Amino acid sequence: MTRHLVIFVVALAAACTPPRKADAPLPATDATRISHDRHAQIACIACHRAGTRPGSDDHRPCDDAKCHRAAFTGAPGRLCEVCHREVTVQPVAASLKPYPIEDAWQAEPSRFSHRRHLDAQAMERRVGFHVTCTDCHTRGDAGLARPDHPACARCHAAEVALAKAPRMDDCIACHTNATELRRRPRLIRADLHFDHARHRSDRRGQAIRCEECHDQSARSTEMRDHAAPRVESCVGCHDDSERTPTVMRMRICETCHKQRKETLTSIAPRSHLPLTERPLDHTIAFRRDHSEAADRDATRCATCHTQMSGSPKQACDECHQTMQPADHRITWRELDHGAEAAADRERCARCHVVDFCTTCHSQRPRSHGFASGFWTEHGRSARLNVRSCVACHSESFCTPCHLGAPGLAR
Amino acid sequence: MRRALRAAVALCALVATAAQAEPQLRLTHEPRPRHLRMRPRATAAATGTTTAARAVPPVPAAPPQLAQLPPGDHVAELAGVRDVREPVSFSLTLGYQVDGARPSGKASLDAPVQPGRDYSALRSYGFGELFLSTRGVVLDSLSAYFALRFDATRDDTYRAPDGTQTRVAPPISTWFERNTFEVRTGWAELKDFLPRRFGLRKVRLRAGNQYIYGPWVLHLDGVLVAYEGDVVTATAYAGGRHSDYTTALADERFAAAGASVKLDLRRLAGIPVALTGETLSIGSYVDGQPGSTHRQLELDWQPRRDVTVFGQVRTLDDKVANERLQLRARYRQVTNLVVDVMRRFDDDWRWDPTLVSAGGDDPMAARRYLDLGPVLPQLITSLRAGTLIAENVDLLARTTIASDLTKDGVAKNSFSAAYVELGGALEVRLRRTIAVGASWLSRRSDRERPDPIVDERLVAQPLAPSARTGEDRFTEVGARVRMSLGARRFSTSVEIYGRRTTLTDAYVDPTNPIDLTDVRGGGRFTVDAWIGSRLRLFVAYDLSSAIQNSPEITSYKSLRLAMTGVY
Repeated sequence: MTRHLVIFVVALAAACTPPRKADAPLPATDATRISHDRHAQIACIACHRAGTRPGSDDHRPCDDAKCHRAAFTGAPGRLCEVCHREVTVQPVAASLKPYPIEDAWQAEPSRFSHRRHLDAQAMERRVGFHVTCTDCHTRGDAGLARPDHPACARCHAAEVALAKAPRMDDCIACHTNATELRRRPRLIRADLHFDHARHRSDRRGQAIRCEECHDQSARSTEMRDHAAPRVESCVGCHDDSERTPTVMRMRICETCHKQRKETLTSIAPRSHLPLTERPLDHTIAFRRDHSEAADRDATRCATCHTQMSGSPKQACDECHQTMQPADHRITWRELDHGAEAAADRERCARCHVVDFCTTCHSQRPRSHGFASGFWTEHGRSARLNVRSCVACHSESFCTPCHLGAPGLAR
Repeated sequence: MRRALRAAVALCALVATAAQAEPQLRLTHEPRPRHLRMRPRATAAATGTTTAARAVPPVPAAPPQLAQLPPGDHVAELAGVRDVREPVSFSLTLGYQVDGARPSGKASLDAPVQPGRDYSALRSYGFGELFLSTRGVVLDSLSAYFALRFDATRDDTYRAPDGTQTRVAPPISTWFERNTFEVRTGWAELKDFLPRRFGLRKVRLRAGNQYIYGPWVLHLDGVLVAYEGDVVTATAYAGGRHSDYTTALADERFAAAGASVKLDLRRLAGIPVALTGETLSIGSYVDGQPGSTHRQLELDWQPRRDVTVFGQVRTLDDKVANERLQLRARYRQVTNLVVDVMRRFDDDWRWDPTLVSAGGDDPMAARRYLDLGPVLPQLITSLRAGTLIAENVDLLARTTIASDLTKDGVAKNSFSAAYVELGGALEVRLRRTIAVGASWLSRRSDRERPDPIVDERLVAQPLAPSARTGEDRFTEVGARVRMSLGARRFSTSVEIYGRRTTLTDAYVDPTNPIDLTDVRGGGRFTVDAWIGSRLRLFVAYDLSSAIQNSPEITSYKSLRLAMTGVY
């Protein structure tokens, strides 16, 4: 008993453990980075040449005579910090900052719309063909590549001459004059691992469509609202024995996590539950008091609950006439329901009309035995709980024998 | 001739000019990349089909736009749970149940009981349910729904030596003892069938056997007309009350007519209030039961999205019968709080609107068996609160206090006793698909406690006052383990529970003391398995412990098997 109690307490404490700490906030704007606003008078291609990092060609064009030549001929100063972590003369060292900088501010972000590019009909109407995800996100040996300028140029190059479409030489047609936080990975992070190459087809060999996981992409109108896949999309396949091998099921944490196993202290979050498991808000309290929610949004109920009529209007009976409350156990009919009906008759009356009750209450109980034997032998049962008698028998039924009684007023 | 020569010179000059121009060698566009899934324009292809001499293969339709899919996510997954787009869907359940109460060989509390004569130790019956619905069949605006139930059981009778036949009580009381076939619900509905003018498109007409939710959940054979606008919702209905689970003994008929109007001020004036007025008239054709009129006024104030204050007043024949005030609050989806205060007046109905009077003193009136006595004024206050901790620990705590508002000198009633109730439930998910739960409920009644009546042998004792009888308190605890792979897949649960009831000591028997405490328990095991998305198998086995006050049997048992096919 003690052991079970300890297990229960440990499980409870584990379940109450607060969720993982939120990721550290992104750094503030890096003052050492180049300001696009100050360089607004210069054409983009004057610095961004052939898609390389500005300055990578022996500091060109930054050290142009008309620009920052003086900074490159003097002692290392703040300008160096734009690209280098540190510049020392003795010994000569100038390690570069990563580029592009992840988890930092991004200047001139793209206003790319997945919705526009994945709208097959609109694309067909305008350019005569439609594109799919892999047209831009090409699959390589290292995984799925993030689209770069050459990828865009395949359609947006000036030579292609797509009508009413931005051209590659028109930078501001795609890039906005703004600054926003660069998105860090929102799903595949921490100890999670994921390989696009292994998700090309399922166990049956059938192709896995991109939108099965990226189901929000086709609705994204700009980069900032491009939602990451949700864990629920993983569950759909990884719970399906026809699509996923047993060793890679959702219940096996190591399928996705490098350092996690399901133990009493690491319970999978709700997002990892089967898709058709109860929604988050369907708590015990909600199940007790769901009438308001059903009244306000009956359509939501009808999504899952078996309402064969297909009508969300006045359809409570479809559940209430077929599903028993949890406390209607085997002893309910003969023993338990009386106390409940006396305490909360409204609860009974939601489903049961008088006819239902009287059908049973008009039957001769088993305890009454055969014929008239119980007539003379009912005292012990009556002394135990005389209310069980008056549930069926009126006072006038009893008083002929039990004269002088104070009265069983009903 | 001269004109022809002039034209020839001009032509030569033109050709010479063209020949002297530099050739265009610069690319004006790139060829389309091969990996792009380019196809000819649909319109161009169609034109080509009509003009080209050679037949052009039909152009496949463009794939559906994802953006046009319903906002509900994982449509395919949920469609497996319930496909609402099929024009016809039905579900058929066939089942078999065995109820048993094995004889222990002991006498009952009062007298020997003989199985087969006084009750059946075993009872089996078959049952079935059929649900059928159509949408847009015959008429686009027509939908229909039928729910049927049938039971097949053996009529168990005992033939006495004198030739008389007596029905034998089943091992566990049940409402039907015969082969029955009943229509639970059966209606046809028309909507979107009127022109849009004057908002008529929002009129809905439903006729048949249906449920109507008003002052009472009314099962009606009749007609409902509803207008469901953004601001105003109105319904009107009339028909005969449909008796549920009825036998000939309780086949009582009532006529009912009612109407409701709901005015939503949120959309009309931006005030977060909805007002609802309802009326229900019951015409009785049952002796001893007068007709009655019930009116109800509701106010639904929603000052914030997750906070609702709900007030309700109901009258019976123009006398205030019931008042209710309820506060519902929700925080972050998973934390719920409900405070419910209900005041019942002594003019309230006894059970439902068809039972408003004690009626006559006909001992055979079946309805009388559920007459819980005259309604006594009560104030019932409930508090229910629940939350979900860390997505895993589901908690519910509740308490109810029922206060007796009976005036001094008025006889009290066993069925309207004051009580205090405390309860709670907990469910903890220990594994991804496995959860354990526990529940607890305790209720203590506040009854009159005069000195108990001392039993005297062979003397008929006086009857104890009603308010003195009944349960004094009980406590029930339960535990459950549930495994679920999701709806319509596989789920199973094991549940055990126990209940300890203490009855009031209305009588004292010095020579043969009565144990007023009843302890019993039981368990339940269920398996709910789906084979594919169309076939469901369900098994439930219920078992109780020995029943202290029913020593003639060892326990109750029940096995239920059901198979459901869904289309």
